[in-house]
Amino acid sequence: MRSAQWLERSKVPGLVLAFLMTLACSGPASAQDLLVRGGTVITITNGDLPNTDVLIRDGKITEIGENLTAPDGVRIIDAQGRFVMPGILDDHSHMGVDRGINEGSRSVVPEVSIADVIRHDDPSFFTALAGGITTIHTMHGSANSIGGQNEVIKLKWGRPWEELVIEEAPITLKLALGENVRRSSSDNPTRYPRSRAGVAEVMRESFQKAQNYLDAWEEYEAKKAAWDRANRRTRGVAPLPPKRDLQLEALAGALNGTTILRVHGYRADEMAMMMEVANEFGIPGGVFEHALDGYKIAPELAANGWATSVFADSWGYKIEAYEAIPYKMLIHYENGVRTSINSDSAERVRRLYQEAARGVKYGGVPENECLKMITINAALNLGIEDLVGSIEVGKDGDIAIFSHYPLDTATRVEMTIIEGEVYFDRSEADVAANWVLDPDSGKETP
Amino acid sequence: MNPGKEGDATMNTWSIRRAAGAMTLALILALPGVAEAQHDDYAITGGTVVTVSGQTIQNGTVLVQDGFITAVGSNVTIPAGVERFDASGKFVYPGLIDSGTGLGLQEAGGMAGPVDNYELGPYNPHIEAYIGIDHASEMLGVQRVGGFTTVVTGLNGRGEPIPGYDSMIDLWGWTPQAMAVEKRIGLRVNWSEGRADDLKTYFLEAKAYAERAEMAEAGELVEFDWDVRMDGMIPAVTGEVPVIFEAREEDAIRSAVEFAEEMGLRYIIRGGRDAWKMTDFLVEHDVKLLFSGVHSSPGQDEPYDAHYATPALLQEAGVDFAIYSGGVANVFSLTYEVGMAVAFGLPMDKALRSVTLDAARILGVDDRLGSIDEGKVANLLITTGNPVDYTSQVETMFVRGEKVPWDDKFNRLLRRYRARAGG
Repeated sequence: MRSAQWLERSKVPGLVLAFLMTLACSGPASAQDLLVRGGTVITITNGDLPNTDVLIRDGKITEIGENLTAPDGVRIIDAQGRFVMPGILDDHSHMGVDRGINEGSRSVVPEVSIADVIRHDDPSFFTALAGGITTIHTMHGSANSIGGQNEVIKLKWGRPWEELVIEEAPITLKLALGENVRRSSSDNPTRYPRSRAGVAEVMRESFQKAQNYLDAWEEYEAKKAAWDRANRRTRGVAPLPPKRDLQLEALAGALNGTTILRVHGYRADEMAMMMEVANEFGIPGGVFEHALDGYKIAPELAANGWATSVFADSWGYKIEAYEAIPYKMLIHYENGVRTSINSDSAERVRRLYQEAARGVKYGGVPENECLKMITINAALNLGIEDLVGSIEVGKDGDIAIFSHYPLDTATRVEMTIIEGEVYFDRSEADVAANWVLDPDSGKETP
Repeated sequence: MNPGKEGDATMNTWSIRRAAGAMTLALILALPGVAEAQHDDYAITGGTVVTVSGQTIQNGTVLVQDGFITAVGSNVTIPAGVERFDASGKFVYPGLIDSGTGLGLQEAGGMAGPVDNYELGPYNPHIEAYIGIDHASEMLGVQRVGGFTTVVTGLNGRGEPIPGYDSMIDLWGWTPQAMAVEKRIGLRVNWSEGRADDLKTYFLEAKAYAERAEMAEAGELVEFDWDVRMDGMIPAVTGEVPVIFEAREEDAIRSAVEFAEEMGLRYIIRGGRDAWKMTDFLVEHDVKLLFSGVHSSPGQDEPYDAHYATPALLQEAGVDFAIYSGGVANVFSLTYEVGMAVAFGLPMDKALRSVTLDAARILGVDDRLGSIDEGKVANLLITTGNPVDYTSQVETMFVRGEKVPWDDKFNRLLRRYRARAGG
């Protein structure tokens, strides 16, 4: 079960980490110390700072400013003339999932978890790092009304799986609407539900069961507390707890606000349906995945507290995607709908900054707002905005160093850093094909 | 049946078809009985004119008359009565060309009905793609956001060995006939070494047929068995139209080139995923290459930027190439692939040529398209910057001198829903 695993995971490394941090802060430089010197720092949340240094100690950003001094032994990265931005987040990915993206036998399977089927050595982690990606949300697919629990990881290429997981990230639950969950590509669908109306009722039924389950536990806790207080001789037999149900436990998280709903939706009507059902159960919003027609109901999304995670300009690949327009980022932005741009692809993830540039092209969304869509907005969509998504003191030392402004056509990722450690460095001669053509790369001809 | 009579009928069809391949733009603008479009004349003034073929002209004027560019320069006399179009502070570029798409032959994917991009049977060299183009396809108009005025499109849905002739079309017009630039821009052959023997037999048969057809036309044959497919092969085996070999891997490219040379064909290689591994071969054999897949993921044994860097490596080595998308709905995103190639070393001027003049030249239409020069078709863009740049916006488009209405699907929906709130 997920929550138990979660507890185990978070306890042990957390304690070890705390111990190591205490040790390292007072002692010599650690492998997670770094001074990134002299670049233009794109903080995302606090403007662009020219000729600024970023000091990372024990994996956390400890100082941002001009002419910082590197403590003894701390590695210095020269970023002069370059652009230093927070490591990029892709909040809709399936990378690292070693089969098991969809548990398709039943439509409602909130109990299954990506954590059980992930591999730490997916080669696409490296090519994503080469595009400045540091964090991904790797997810179940869209074949199920309620498809299971996802995982938020950092692309610490080469490290064991346990080190990739962001312990503090809230649980996210994948839901899906529309053509995929209806299995509409099948000529002879045999699984309920087959219609959007049916999907709505499946959602209602599932959340109602989860609410009943929460109520039953609440009732039990109250009875148990009363029983605990009661006279030992007269209180009789202890009340029996409700039967534990892993499905309903997972769903209950969405009702009590500890789990973030991530809902695959294309058409406006299905998103409106989801918001109606969520409101019935007091669910305070969530994130629509793709939300291709979200621009049609942007005021409703904003009013109901739903965010989106979109493709910048993919469209027309099926009838559901036939109304998608590349101006959606503009309309979301103008309506105050928080939006991230995702890849959903082991290829596209390598150039998410280029996807973000499309926000400027299609309607002139301000540049920093476009960069938010691949950093802090994605972090907010995942509930990890206190850790990543901007360059601020106290946040993780996750950084992508670009050759030019990240939305500039000439730009390339030169280096990707996670928690103060370099995971991608373009100047390492064996990774790049065309460095001989690149006089600025600082490499030598072999 | 009287063979002589059949031969006569054959020759007529054949002659007409052959002539069709060489038709001029003026001839194919109109269907019989329909008046040619009335062109407004324009003088686009005050902008930075990026001609692509020559010097960029600051504060230049492009004069457009009857659908053609009639003057370009910084000192053009504008005839009285010509509408002026102020491009001050903007840029004027030639319309972009995508040299490989499936546009107009399918609407939204995922359903059989709107997808019309393959024919049954392995050899269909008599098929011409343009005839099935839906001029009202929503997929055509939206490509203007990327600056594309002209594309090559073709049937290729199931990868049969010869799916037919690709056509070159402009993305604005009221009928497929009016949109066609070249009905037969190249015969598409989905090449693989495994198909080499069969294709050799087929091409040799076609060459022999072409010789007999020529003799028949000269009245030197009493008997001539007309064949619709063999007839379709004639422009391809006589060099009138290039054969476009689809080939991606190194072995396939190599064997396709060898096949084309052995058959004495005029040819183009399209695909070229492995081209970066074999630049010497491509230069040595003077291969014309249409490359796609800047954005494709590297193989596990390849550098992370192998395909980002391919255009730069090809350019450095002196390979003659253009870049295409291979797409349908997202042809407009090709500018981002070309832009990525720039980031990984391709000079910007070559990047632009790879979707304008070099594409036109490789496809044999550079006499009409690909640059802003006197006498060329007025396919023009007014933009905020280089259309290859990630954040440039295309603001106005002219196709054959007509200002294209800004009513594509993206812009219609933008206007409708932006007006709801916020915007």
